[in-house]
Amino acid sequence: MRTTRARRLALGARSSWVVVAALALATAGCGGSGSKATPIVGSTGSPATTAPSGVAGNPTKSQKPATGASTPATTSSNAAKNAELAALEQQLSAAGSLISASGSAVSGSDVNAAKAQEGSAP
Amino acid sequence: MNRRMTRLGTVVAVVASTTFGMSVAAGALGGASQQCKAVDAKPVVHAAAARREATLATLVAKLQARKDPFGMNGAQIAALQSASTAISALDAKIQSTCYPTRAAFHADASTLYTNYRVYWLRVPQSHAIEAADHLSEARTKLGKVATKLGTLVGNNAQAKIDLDAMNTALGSVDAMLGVAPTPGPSIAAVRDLAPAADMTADDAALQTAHTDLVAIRQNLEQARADGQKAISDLQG
Repeated sequence: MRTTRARRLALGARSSWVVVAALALATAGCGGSGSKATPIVGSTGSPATTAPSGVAGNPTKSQKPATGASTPATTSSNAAKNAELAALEQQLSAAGSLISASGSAVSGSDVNAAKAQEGSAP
Repeated sequence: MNRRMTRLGTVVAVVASTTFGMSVAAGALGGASQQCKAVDAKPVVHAAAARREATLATLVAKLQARKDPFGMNGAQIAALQSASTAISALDAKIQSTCYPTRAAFHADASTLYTNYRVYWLRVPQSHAIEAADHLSEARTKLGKVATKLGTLVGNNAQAKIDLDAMNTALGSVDAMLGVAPTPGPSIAAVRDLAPAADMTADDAALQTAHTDLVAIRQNLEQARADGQKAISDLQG
């Protein structure tokens, strides 16, 4: 009788441990704060496990810094500089047009060529 | 018989009188047409006047289309329009006047060629003002490019060298052309010229301005080429 009772108590205690452990796991799985769980994409793309939001997972391929000389910031800076240089080239071209347009006026300011047309009274 | 003689005498007297009267009238008319001298030269003067008016109108149109950075165009346009009005009035007077001598006609016609100096003065003067206008606008654009390049050259040694060359050329331009709204000395001198009997001083001022304008244009071309080099340096 004693033996049977002791066995029941032992079984009851083990069951309690299982319940506590299950509760603990459930709490951890929910993030503990009640926030949504975020799936972590593994190498195969299948959800490997979940992690609470706010915890950095593995970055996706597009988020990884590009390997090589230029970072995205450098590339953007170069593109802006090239755009500025292209705009300056356009301004140089416009200045060139003005310089060309001045050609006839500059040559027309030659007094020696112009005064020959004055003539004299008949 | 006496009556017949009297009638005949009367008829002869009337015919003679009429013939004399007609010949006197004809003589008077012939004298009038011979009094107006140089009639054959009037179309030549009219064509010369019309050509000058057309030239002045073209110069006015060109200056009116410009931006006038030195504030010289307004006075020049007024001078050109005044000359055109005076030439038109002179032409009308010459065409309607009966000149008793060729010398009298020549004296009037000569004023068309000497008082206004449309080709000797107004054409080169207006072109010099127009050229300065164009070149000043080009100078402003190149100056903006140089300023921007100054922020971009960084440590690029070759770009710095080319930008320095560009700025040197622009400095030479400023020394001759002036910086708007103040024209350079030779351009300002041209602005103040007026027709003169002795055109020696006008000639000298116009030639100096023309020489400067040619040099200014070359310097702007050089500045533009240097700017292009600096941009290529930065692109490379």
